[in-house]
Amino acid sequence: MDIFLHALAESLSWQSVAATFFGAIVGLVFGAIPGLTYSMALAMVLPITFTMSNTPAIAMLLGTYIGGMTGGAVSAILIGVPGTPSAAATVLDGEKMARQGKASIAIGIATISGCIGGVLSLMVMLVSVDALARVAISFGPAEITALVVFGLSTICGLSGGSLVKGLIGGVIGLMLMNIGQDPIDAVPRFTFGFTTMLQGVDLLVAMIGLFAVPHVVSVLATYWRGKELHIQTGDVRTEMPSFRLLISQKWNFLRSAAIGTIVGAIPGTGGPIAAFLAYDQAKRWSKTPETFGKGEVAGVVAPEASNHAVTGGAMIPLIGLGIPGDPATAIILGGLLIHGIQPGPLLFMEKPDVISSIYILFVLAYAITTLIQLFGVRVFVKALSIPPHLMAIGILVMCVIGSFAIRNSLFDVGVMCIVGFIAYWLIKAQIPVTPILLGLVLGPTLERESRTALIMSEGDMSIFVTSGPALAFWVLAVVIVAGQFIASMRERKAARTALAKPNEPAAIQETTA
Amino acid sequence: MTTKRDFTERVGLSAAAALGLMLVPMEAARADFPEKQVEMVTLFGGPAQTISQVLADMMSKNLPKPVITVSRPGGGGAIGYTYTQAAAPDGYTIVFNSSSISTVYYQGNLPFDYKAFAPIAQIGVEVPVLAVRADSGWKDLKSMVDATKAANKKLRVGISGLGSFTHLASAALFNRVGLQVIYIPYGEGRAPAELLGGRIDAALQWSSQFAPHVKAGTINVLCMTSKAKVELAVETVTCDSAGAAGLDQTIWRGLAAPAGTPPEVIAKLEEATKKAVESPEFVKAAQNLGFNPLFKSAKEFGAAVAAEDKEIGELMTELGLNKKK
Amino acid sequence: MTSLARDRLVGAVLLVVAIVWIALVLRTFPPAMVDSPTSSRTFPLASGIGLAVLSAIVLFGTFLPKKDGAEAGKVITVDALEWRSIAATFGFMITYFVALKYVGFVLATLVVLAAFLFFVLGKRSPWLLIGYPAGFAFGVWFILGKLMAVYLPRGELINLF
Repeated sequence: MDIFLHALAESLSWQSVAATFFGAIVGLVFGAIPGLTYSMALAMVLPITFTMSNTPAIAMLLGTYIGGMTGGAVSAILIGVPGTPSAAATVLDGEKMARQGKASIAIGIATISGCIGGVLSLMVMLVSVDALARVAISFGPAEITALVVFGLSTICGLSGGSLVKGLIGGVIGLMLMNIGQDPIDAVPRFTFGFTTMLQGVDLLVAMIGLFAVPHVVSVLATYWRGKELHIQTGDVRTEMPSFRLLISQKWNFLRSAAIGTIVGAIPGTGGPIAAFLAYDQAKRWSKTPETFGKGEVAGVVAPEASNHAVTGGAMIPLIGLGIPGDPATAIILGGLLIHGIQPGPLLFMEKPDVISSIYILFVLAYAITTLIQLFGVRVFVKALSIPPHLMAIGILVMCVIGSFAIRNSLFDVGVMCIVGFIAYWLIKAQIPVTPILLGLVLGPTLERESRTALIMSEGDMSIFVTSGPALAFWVLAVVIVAGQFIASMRERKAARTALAKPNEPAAIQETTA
Repeated sequence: MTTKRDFTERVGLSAAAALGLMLVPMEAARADFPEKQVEMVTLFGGPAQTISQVLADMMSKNLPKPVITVSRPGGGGAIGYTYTQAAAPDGYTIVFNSSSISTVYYQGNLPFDYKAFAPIAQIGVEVPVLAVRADSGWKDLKSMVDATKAANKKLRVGISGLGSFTHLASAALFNRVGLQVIYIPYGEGRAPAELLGGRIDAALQWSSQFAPHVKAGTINVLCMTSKAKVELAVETVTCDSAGAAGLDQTIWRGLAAPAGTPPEVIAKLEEATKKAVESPEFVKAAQNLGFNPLFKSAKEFGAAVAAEDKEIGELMTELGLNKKK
Repeated sequence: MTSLARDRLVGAVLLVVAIVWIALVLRTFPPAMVDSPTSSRTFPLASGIGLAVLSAIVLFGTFLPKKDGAEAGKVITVDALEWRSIAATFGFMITYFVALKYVGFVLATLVVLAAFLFFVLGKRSPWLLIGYPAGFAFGVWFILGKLMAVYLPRGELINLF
C-alpha cells in the first residue's frame, strides 16, 4: 500500500500532470491529422523525455499514445477521413452522424467510449497481466492467420449490396498492398527496377487516398452545382450524449473492449483489426442491424471502445514480457529502456512502484485526454461552419502533408493521388469502400503470417488447424460466411415474392440500393 | 517542468533559426559549416532509431546548428541510402548507416554500394546472441548441437528477415557447427515472443531483447557471434570459443555523407560525433538500450566498412543470396 | 450509361487489369530466394486470379436475363460539372506535388492555394486570397513544423525557412 501511495503521489505531481497534458495535446493533433499517427507523435516526444525523470517521462509517452488514439476519431467524424487506421471503422457511422447535425454527439460518444474501453482494458491488465501475456504469446503465425481470416469474413457482412463487388473490393485492397518489397523474401514486386518503388503502397497513404480524394471531388461538384450545404454555426449544437444513451450501450462497451483487449495483446495485430471486428460484432448483435452505416450510435461506440482497449491490451505483453506488439509500443519500450526500466516479469518484483505508476498514469492519461476532447468538441465542430469547398481544399493540403510525413517521401504523395484516382472510379462503379479497406488492412498481415507459418511447418498445411485458438477462429469464420449466405438467400427469396406483387416495387428499390 | 522549458526553447530556437536563414545567403563559405540544421537520415524504426535520436541530440550540443533525424524507411534501407546518395555533397544530409548497405546491395535492391558514401565515423557495434528456451535444457552451444544431431531433426531458428544481417550471422554460425536449419523470418522484435511461445527452437537477436527473460530464468543465451568478447546486456561467451571456430559476425553502425563531401566538413562532423559518442550521457543511454558505443575515425571506419563489405559479399555468395554476381 | 452497361464496362476493365497483373507476376517477379512452399508470387498470383474470376462473374452476369429491369435501366452519367471537379482535384494535387518538390512547403502552399482560390474557385476577395493561404501555410509551418518538429517537404530549388 505504501508503494501504491508513493506512486500515486508521484504520478499526480504537477510535473506528471503537465507532461501528460502536453503528450495528450501532441497526440490529439497527430491523431486528428490523417497521415500523422501516434507512432510518429511518440517518436517526436521521445527525445523530450530523455532528460526528464522517470514518472513524468512515462506520463508523457502514455499521454501521447492515448491522445493519438483518441484524435483519430475527430477527423473520421468531422471530415470522413480517419486520422489513424484504427479509426477507419469509425467513419462508417460517425461521418453520417455529423451530416445529420449530430457531430458533437458523435465525437462525445467516441471520446467516452474510448475512455471506457481503455479503462476496461486496464482493469483486465490489472487482474491478469501475467496470465494474459502468456495467452498472447501462444498466438503464433498460424493462429494470427486464422484470426485474420475471421476478420476478412466480415467482408460478407460489410459489403452492402452485391457480395461479388464486395469481394472485388477486398481483392483490390490486397493487390494494392502487394506492390513494393516482399515482406518475407525482400524481393521487389511490381517495382519495374525503380528503387523508390520498393517503398510500395503504405497502408496510411492508401487510406488517405481512398477516403479523402473522392470526398473532395464530390464536395467540389456539389459546390459548382450550387447545392452546397451551408451549416450555420448556430445549427451545430454542442450537445453531449445523454446518460441514458451510454447505459443503452453497456453490452456493446463490454464486448468491444473485450475484443480490443485480446486483439491488442496479440503481437503483430493491432487497432484496425480490433475496430472492424468490434463493429461487425456490434452489427450482428444489434436488434436493428439495418441502421448501421446510416449514423448508428452503436457503430461509433464499437470501434472506438475497441481500438482504445487495444492500448491496454498492447501494454500486456509489453509490461508482462517486455515484448512490444506494434511500432507504437516499441517506441514506448525504447523510452522505458532509456530510463533504465526494463519491462518484463522481473519488473513486478524489482520495481513494483514503476508498475503502479504505469497503471495510475494510464488512467490519468485517459482522464486528461477525455477532458481535453470534451472541452474541445465546441471548437472542433466550428470547423463545420467553414464553407465545405474551402474546407475541402484545406483537407487536400493536409492529406498531401500527411502522406508525405509518414515516411518523409514525396513518392507517397504520388501514391496517394493515384490510389485516390482509382478509388474514385471504384466507388463510381459501386464497389463498396469498406471491403477495399479491409483488404488493405488485413491483406499484408494475412500474407506475412500465413507464409511465415508455412515456412515453419515446411509446407505442411495442417499447421493452420492443429491449435485450439486457430481452429476456433476458422469455425467462427465459417459460421459467419454460412450465416450470411443463408440470410442473403432468404432476402432474395423475400425480394422475389415481393416482386410478384406489382403494388410494392418501392420495397425492392430500398433493399437493393 | 522540462516540458515547459523544452517548449519555450523550441519556440525561441525556431524563431532564431528562421531569422538566421533569412539573413544568410544560400551559398556561403564552407568554413562556417554548419550554417543550417544537418539532416541525419535514419533507415529503420525501433532501437536503431532511438539510438540515432540520442546521437543527434548529443551532436547538436557540439555544433552551432542542430542535427535532426529524418526517418526515410523502406526497402531494407534502400530508400534512405538512395536519398542520401542523391543529396548535395555539402554535409547537410548525412545517413545513420550500418552493415545494411552491404546486405541491401548484394540482395540486388540497390544500384550502388558503400563506395557512394564518404565515411564520417563509426558509432558502435551490435552483436547478436543465440538464445534458446531454458526448458530445452541446452546450456551451451555444444549441448544444443549434440542434442539436435542426435534427434536428427532440423533446428527452427528465428531471425529478423530473409537476407537480413541476423540471417547471415546465423547461417555462418550453423554452417560452422554443421546443423540443418529452417530460418523463420519475423519482423524486428518478435522472435523472443515466438521463442517463449515454443514455436521455434532458437533465435538470433539482440541481447537486450532477451535480458529480462534471462534474469527471470526462462531463456538461456548460449553465445555471441563476435570473435572478441564484448560487454552485452547478458553475460555470455563467444560462439568462436564455444565450438564455432572463426565466427566473427557483428553489425557496425556509423555516419556517412554522400561521396564528394569536402574533407573539412567531414572533419567537423567527425569531431562532433566523437564528442557525442564519448559523452557519459550517450554511453549511459546506449547501455540502457543494449547498444555498444565504439568510436572509429573516418579513416579507420572507411577501412572497416570495405573489409566488412567484402566478407558479407563472400558470405552471401556462399549462401546463394548474392544477386550481384 | 445504364447501370447494366456500367457493370459490363467495370467487369471488362477489371478483367483486363487482372490479366495484365497475372502476366506481370509471372514475367517480372524474380525467382524465390529460399526453398519454401509459398513465394513472393503466391499472394499476388492468387489475388490476380481472384480478381479475374470475380470480374468475369460481373461481366457475364450482365448478359444474363435480369429480373429487376428498373434498376438495370437506371441511367448513370458523369456530367460536365463532375468532370470539372475531378480535373480540379487532381490538377490541384499534381501542381502541388510538383511545387512541393521544387520550392518546399511554405512557398508551394502559398502560391498553389492562392492560385486555386483565384482561378478555379473564382474567389476575388483579397482577404480570402491572401489570408487563407498565408494562414494555412504559416499556421501549419509553425504548429507542425516548428512546435511539433514534423518534417515538412523541402524544395530542391528554393527554400523559405
